[in-house]
Amino acid sequence: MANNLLLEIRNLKTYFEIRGALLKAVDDVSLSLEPGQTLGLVGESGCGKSVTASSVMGLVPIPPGKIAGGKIIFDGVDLLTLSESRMKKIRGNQISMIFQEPMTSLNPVFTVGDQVGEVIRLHQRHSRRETRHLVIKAFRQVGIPAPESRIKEYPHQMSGGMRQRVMIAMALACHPKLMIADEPTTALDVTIQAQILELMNKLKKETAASIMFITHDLGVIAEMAQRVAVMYAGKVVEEADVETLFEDPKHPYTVGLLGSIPVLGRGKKQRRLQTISGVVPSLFNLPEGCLFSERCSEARQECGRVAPQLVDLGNGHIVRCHNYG
Amino acid sequence: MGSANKKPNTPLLELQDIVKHFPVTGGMFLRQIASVRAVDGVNLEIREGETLGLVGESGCGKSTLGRLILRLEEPTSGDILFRGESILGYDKGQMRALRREMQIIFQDPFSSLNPRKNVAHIIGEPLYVHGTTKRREREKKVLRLLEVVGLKKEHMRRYPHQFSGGQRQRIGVARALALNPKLVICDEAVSALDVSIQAQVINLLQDLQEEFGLTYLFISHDLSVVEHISNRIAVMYLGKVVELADSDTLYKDPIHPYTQALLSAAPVPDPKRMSKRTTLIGDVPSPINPPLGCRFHTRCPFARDTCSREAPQLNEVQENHFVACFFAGSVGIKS
Repeated sequence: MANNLLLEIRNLKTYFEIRGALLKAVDDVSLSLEPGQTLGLVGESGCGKSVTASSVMGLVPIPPGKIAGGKIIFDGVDLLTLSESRMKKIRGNQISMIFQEPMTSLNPVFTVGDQVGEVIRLHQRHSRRETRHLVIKAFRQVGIPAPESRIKEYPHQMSGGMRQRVMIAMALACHPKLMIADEPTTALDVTIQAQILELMNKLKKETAASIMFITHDLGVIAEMAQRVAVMYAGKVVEEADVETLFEDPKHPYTVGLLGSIPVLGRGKKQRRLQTISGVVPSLFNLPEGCLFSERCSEARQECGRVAPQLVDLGNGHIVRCHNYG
Repeated sequence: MGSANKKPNTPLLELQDIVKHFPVTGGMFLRQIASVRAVDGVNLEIREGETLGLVGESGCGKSTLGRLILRLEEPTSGDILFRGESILGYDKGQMRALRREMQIIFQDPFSSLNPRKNVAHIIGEPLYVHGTTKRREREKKVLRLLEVVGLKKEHMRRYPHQFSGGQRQRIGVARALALNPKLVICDEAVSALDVSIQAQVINLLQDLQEEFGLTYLFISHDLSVVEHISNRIAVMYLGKVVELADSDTLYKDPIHPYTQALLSAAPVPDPKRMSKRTTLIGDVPSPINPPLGCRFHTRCPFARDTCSREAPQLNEVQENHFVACFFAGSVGIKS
């Protein structure tokens, strides 16, 4: 099976046991990522996209969480079989993560230089002076002006955009093969978001790292990803390359999602937005059959009873819907 | 926009050179050492029945402006006219009467509803405050409001935590509509919602506008949402309005370099659109010490000497298209 995939998630099941109920936050998810590729993971809150990322990083709190099945094969090794000490060597080193909230994911009582240096010293042997050098280099790489003085600053002295650059510097410090970016620009203003997205694309080219990009923003996905997987209530409902997904979406949920966002420039031609009726079902109380059936405009009788399987439509376009069975 | 006053029909709301500075205290005796110039000389009018969009990035003063209109903050200087009458001199009683006409919907549907009160109480409270003291009568109205915003009768006795984000925002909308207001200020009213739910609430707001003849001031950082819902759009930067135009015009023919940058920075859900993006360099400067001259000159790719010395005024460069830039029309990616 060792083809040239960097990451292969096979039938991953991450469940949480809460108040006696079993929540299937990620249920039978399979995804793969080639070297140098950006895979976008989209979906609304609670669809399991962040839990998928935490599972790859080995950051699911156990208990209440548990990995009930599946494999996460990274660079030929199943991460789920590794001990915590071996996982620690991979985390931050070969796989790193950028979080949404740069304020809460940086430690307020250490300088940013110390924090980036810590990652480097944890995984590589360097003297203090060398480390400082590497930190300055990393800061320069992510476009932080005057890095020599900036490394002495504390997180609160920096703006949101600068903090996110520090997070990216930290994530890139050890030249990871895979970067997981969980809503990295959601908390930022649009002009700053544009800067960060541009930076991430530039760095990806320079470092040849793969990115798993998690977001709810379809506009950002269109710009960043080559392949996109749409998640709904813990399952992947559609996966395709980015052009196909936006031009020819098949799953009614994807179609609805694309129709419900106002698009700049469409103006008054788009007087009313399409909506998807109802709300995302609670994981405590999932419907029978297709999880989307209650909100689907095309639902048939069968949909409420039998859960659809993923169907391959060719060219890597996969969809989970009875209409294509 | 002084000339706008001559129009026969007075606008519903008019802001005249509104300024709001917040004091920054420090030192041993907590003296005022500086001020945050949140809103710094804004002239705007909101016409009856329209939706005026107000966009800008965080810290540009758009939310403060909304709060000033409701007099949740007192302006440092300037005047606010409602139906041609200054409301700044109003006493408590007059203000209370006026608040029937002006309501606000907040961003966060989680923190803007009291977790210990049920829906009937939350929506009924403004009715109670404004004189509907009979419980029966109040609940009848609450029921009608729930229906209007797409909730059901059985929701009336439930508490906020029992609702999803979208439903909570509907409760917020119902509460704002309880007193039949004329003007509703939507302060990032859909920003916290998931896209499929956001679309539902946007459609609801548009339906309600048609049904009740509402006027909206729609404050948001999300350009595509603002463009979709607004008739006219004002773009703010560091406490000042830099451009004001019809929403179609603003999108097709943005003149101020900041508006151009803002539009080109917005991600568009179309992978084929190769972005010919003008990325702005740097961050928004602090409103405590805004740049002299044109506030945008520190990040403006077209800035010249004059820009750092003098502040440009908001001028009408085309019909109904106002821009605060010395080189309006002569610079930019479009021209």
